[in-house]
Amino acid sequence: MNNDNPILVSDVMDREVIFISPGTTLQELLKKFRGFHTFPVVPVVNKEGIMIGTISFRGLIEIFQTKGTSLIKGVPFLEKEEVDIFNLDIDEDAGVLFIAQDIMDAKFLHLDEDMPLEKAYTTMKINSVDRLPVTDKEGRLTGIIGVFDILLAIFEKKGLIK
Amino acid sequence: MNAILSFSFILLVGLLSAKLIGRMKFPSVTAYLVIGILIGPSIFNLISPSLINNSGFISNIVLSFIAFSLGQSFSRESFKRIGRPVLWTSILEACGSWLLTTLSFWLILKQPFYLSLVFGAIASATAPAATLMVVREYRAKGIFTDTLLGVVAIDDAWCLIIFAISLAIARAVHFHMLSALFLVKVVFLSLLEIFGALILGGGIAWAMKRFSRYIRTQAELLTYTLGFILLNAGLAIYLHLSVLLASMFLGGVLVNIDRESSKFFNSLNSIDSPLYLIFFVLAGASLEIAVLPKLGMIGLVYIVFRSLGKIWGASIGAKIANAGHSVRKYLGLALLPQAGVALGTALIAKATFPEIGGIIITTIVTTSIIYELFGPLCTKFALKKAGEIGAKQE
Repeated sequence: MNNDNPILVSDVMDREVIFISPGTTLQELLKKFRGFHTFPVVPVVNKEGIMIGTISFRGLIEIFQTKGTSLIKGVPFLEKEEVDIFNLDIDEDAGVLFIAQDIMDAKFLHLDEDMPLEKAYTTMKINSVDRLPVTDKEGRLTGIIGVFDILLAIFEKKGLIK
Repeated sequence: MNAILSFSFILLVGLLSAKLIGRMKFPSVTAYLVIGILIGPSIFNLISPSLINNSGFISNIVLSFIAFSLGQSFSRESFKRIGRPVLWTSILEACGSWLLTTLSFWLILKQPFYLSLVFGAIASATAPAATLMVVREYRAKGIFTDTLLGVVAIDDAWCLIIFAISLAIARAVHFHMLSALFLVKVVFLSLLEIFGALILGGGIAWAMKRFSRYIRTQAELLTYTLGFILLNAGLAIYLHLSVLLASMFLGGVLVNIDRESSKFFNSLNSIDSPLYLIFFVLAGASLEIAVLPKLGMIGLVYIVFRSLGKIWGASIGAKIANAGHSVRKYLGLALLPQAGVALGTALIAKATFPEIGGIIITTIVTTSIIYELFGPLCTKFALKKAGEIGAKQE
């Protein structure tokens, strides 16, 4: 890629982002994303437009496990166990009792909008993710970008897409 | 048997035995320790002597990994989530075992103070894997279970801090016993070892974050992470600082200064399992059968006072934090299992004081097997008494 005039994340990102507020219930969240083929990484944005967390598929499953399980995952010697999604202990009321703030990961990955595309791609690769939200310097959610968006931008630059 | 053959033997037999013991609902650690004892020099002598002699080298590397991973517990986010009951209970149950075991060894068994201090510090560890196994098996759920998991998530970190401080004091007491400036030297050397480790770990964490921008692939990331953990541990040894504290601080500072820090911790997941297996088997192999007959009173005092320390300490901590009745009454009982961190710290103590290493490692290996067999039963009992195991799960 030409480093003299690098393509920035803001040039490529999708500005139409579906996000939710911290008070969104689990039921509302699932209804909103029912039409998707896979559960996306969902940004959680407060009233001021600041991104305060993300909800992932893993977070969605973790709420039906013992609360302490998420605290213990960094501890050594634990025998890793796949979660049995067919056998989750789900209460019927969970849909209205859990809100986005309970489910979200407050320590989340995101990209800066003025970051060069090459750096954004490396960040995604070494963190094993294929889609990340984008924020401005103040932490306001401005877009979302995926590995495929980056690939399309490269194809476009090389003249493959007119 | 040559060293490479020994490694392959340890890995394959360890894996097989863990599968077998898993069917009997016991933690894998128990299988690794028993296999280690069986193939070690005391019984069948199937491991290369050079491997046994270098087990201190392997345990130093493994403990650096463990301490680095435990550093994650010190993120601002973790502290916000765990809350007061977990914080108070975990600190006091760890300190309770430390204090009671130290005093009982010193005053009842009339052991030297430095040895009592080392045993006390090792006693503060617990075994999160065994506890989690019981919670998962019986699908325990509720406030007691949440508090229990929070406590076992953080208390091995307290154990490493307690052990690092105790070891620094024990070393100073043991090696400067005849000095005129005895007390000044003890305090000075202990503080130097601890604060030096903190500065080193913090500095290496800063460098690790700073240069990670040049990492392009996951393979590079693993090499980079390993390189920095070993650099930190190696420098700590070279500078006579605490390897455990330096490694824990590396993880603790990194998790707070780098929003992408989870990639470093996750990168180790692909290699830690075989390393831990080798570490446990070698710990088992270090047990000296000849020392076992002398163990009676020491083992008994260790088990009784470590258990009392956990039970009383947890109860006082829960009371201070205004935790519920069941947490005050039964949490300590659920914290009895002991394994990895206790064995690791025992191996370090053995390397520091070789003349009494045999008694330390044999006591801790033997009591770990006892605790791993009976500890999970106590955890189950506590969960049941707290009303968090439903009748259908039993």
